[in-house]
Amino acid sequence: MRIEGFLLRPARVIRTVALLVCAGGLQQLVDAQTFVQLTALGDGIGSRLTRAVTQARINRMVFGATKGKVTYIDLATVYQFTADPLWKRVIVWKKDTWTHSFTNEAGPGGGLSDPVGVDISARRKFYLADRGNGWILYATFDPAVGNLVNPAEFRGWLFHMPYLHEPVDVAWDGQTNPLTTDFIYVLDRQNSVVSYWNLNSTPSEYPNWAYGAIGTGTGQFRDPTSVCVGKTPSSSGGTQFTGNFYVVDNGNKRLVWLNRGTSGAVWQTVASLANWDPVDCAVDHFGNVYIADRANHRIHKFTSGLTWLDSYGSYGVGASMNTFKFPHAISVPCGLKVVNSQSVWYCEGRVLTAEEWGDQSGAVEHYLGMDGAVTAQPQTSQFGDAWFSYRTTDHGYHTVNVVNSSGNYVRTIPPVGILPPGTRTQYWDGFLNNGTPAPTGNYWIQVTAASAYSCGGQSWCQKGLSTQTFFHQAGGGCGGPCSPGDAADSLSVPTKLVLRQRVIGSAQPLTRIAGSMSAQLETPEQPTGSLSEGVRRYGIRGLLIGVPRGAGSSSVSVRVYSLAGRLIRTLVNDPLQPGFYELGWDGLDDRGQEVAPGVYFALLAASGSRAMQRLIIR
Amino acid sequence: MIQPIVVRAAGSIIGIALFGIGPAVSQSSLLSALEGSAPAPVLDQTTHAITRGLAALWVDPTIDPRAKGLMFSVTQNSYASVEAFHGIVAFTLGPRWSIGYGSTRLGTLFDSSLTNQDPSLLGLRAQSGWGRLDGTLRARSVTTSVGVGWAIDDNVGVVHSATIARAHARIAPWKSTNLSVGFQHSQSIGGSVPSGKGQQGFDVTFRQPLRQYSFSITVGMRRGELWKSSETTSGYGLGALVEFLDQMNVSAALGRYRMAYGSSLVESYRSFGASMRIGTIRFSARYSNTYIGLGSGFAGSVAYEPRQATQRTKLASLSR
Repeated sequence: MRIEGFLLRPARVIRTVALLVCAGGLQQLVDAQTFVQLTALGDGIGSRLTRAVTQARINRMVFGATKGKVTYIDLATVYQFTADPLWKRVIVWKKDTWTHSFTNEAGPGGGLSDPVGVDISARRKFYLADRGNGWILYATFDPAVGNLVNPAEFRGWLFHMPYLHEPVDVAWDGQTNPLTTDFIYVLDRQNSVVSYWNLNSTPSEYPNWAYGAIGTGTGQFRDPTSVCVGKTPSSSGGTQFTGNFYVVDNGNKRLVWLNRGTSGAVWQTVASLANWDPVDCAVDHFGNVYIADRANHRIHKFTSGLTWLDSYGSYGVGASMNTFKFPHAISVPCGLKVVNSQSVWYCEGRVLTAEEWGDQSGAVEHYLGMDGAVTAQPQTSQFGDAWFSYRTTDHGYHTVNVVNSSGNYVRTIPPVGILPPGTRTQYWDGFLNNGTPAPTGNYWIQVTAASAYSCGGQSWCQKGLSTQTFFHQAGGGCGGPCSPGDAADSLSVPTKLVLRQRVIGSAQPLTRIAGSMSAQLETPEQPTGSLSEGVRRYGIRGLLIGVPRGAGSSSVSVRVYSLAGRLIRTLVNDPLQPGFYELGWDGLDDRGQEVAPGVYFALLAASGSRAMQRLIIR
Repeated sequence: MIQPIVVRAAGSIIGIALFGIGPAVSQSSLLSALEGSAPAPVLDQTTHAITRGLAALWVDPTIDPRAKGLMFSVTQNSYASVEAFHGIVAFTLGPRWSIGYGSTRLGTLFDSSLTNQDPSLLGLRAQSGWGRLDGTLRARSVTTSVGVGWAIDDNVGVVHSATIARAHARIAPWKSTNLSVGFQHSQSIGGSVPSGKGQQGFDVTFRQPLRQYSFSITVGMRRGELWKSSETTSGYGLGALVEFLDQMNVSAALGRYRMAYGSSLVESYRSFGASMRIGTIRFSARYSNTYIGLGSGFAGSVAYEPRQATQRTKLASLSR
């Protein structure tokens, strides 16, 4: 029966296969069990975890001026490094215990002056931006002594003048092989320039490249405060860096996404939120970007393409839930671990914030776990299937259960891999777990989204979502709440010619879509988290075509033209039955050659009517 | 990149294709469109030599080495909603210098079903721009010009740039025959857009004054490409222009291009132009389209062209 059901719905089968193929191509499946939390976090602590790291353990003045903060996990031993410009030192911690205070008084270049930005590489090379001295200090962290050893400094030289003037942040880039690669980005506030240096050997006098100028336009920054590097899961089970990097342009109140090209940086886009005060950034294992918003006491989360995902927090002192007090440093814990008997470098999804000192505050750790909501309640079609939409805020595994009126799980759709945050549309084909059609009755759907960073079911890392109850009619619904007289196919056949753009991850043959299109027309499914991210990655190659009654008896054509009006490709030139169809252009012309990147337009023609949409090839 | 696999049968695509992820390093079709565009009333890139005046400086500064003034042109593609703007200023400071600027932009890129879901899409752009500086000298029957250009290409967030050098020469070996021969070479010399082999052009123009009228006809050809992914690889064309006292002109041209990609290997092109001069202001219009019929474009330009000695002489002789 189950097989018959699928055979009767070839479009759905193709779409399901396409989605699975797409998901496999987009998301590198990473074994979530290899990710462990740093500390025992406990349970029953709400949707967010907040924990005072050092509140009761240190002199309260220490964190009063903390600027940069970074965590390094050396095979389960946790070390932390904080830049403390007030006392002109770097504090080295073993977990929460203060082990050393590094001042470089006897080192080359003399004592630290205004240490602000810090980072550490997989090879335990420690980098410090010293704004007061105008140089970058680099040293090696020796776990045996618990301190930084062999310090050296560089500032670069250009025409006998120091290249660096006022470095405020430094970010390590291990590229695709973090265990053996050391490049760094240096952000210089005085001239609003970010420069890229090779630290695999003694640094040279000039950076590999430099980018930026003072101003408010493209390619310009004003009082930038932080730089951080994009990340992505690696095939070894760890984390590697991408070519993306981000600059917190505090003076212009924006976050800038750039890409490290072969000869220099390439400006991508910016993100900005109303009245925010971005001061520091961090990137997690999956490439999501976190911003500390100092004045608004919040942390904001974006995708790697800078699509906003969520904002957390409000004003509050101490280690209370979701509260911050002027957070000014943020970092994601990274370090070494063993996967399949091999040492890999990896980063977590937790963020650490250093907050402004107060009587009951200090450095506080926040895990911005899984959250979400149902964004569109279930709708049904005449074919007996249903769909709804929901959004989540973190990468995770999603389990979908269809529940009947007795509270029994009648259909379980298990996780298909790690899904990115964002809005998703989930379908239920109207069948039970045993492959038989679900009987007529009331149902609701429950989604359980568990964080990809290993979750034992605690509420802060697992989110349960429930839809409203909907009426399911076996073998045929009515496109929403049922009422007598609903036209069964009013949503499956358009009243006029329809041509819509779709972001898809792979080419797709012309496929008829069964079922109602009301949701598809306005909130199409996407292969990845956000539309803008999908467009940047795949362009626009997909089309949704609607053929009204009367138009399909004659030939329906879909042709692709260049901007000069030259015919590039005939995608469809056949009589089509009235209804909706999906199609994905493979980027080839009629002669089988790849076309140049750029904008093209698709022209749908049927019965004297025409519709046009743009296609974008990346 | 995974190569695509496509199976076609009975007019429908029934295969499955895969393509790699990530933008290709290549100039976009928008930059190609700008490179191939020309302000009114220049007919097209291949048969450019049949007209004179400021607009012609966009494609060949040697066509009229005395042309000076200011021009602004707008081209609107009728179906793809591509808008192209051209601006040219030409002046004499030793040699004749001309500075040209061209840009294209596209209207709405995304339909409402996408922008309603993600309003940040409205911030994405597809646009390209091109700036040029040419210096032109005329010595007896030989006119030469060298120039540099800089192009930028924003393909919905993927931005590339290129630097271009170009040289033109025009020789009128037999003045009594009113025949001139033009040569052109353009080459991409830098930037992030992968260079092509360069572009060479050749044309022969015959110009015959007939009392108040003058008639000219041009045969031209072009081959090569500036960039790796140019839309056309070669072309040839024939154009004709009739002028009346330098006040009015009407022109027409036909061309055929060899396509780097597209449905057909070779494609035809045709255009019609007209201009009228009132005092020192010249108004021009042009219509062009492809054989397919969807690339129709309309262009209009207005130019300030100070009267030249030759024109005054011609008008004076006619008044006598």
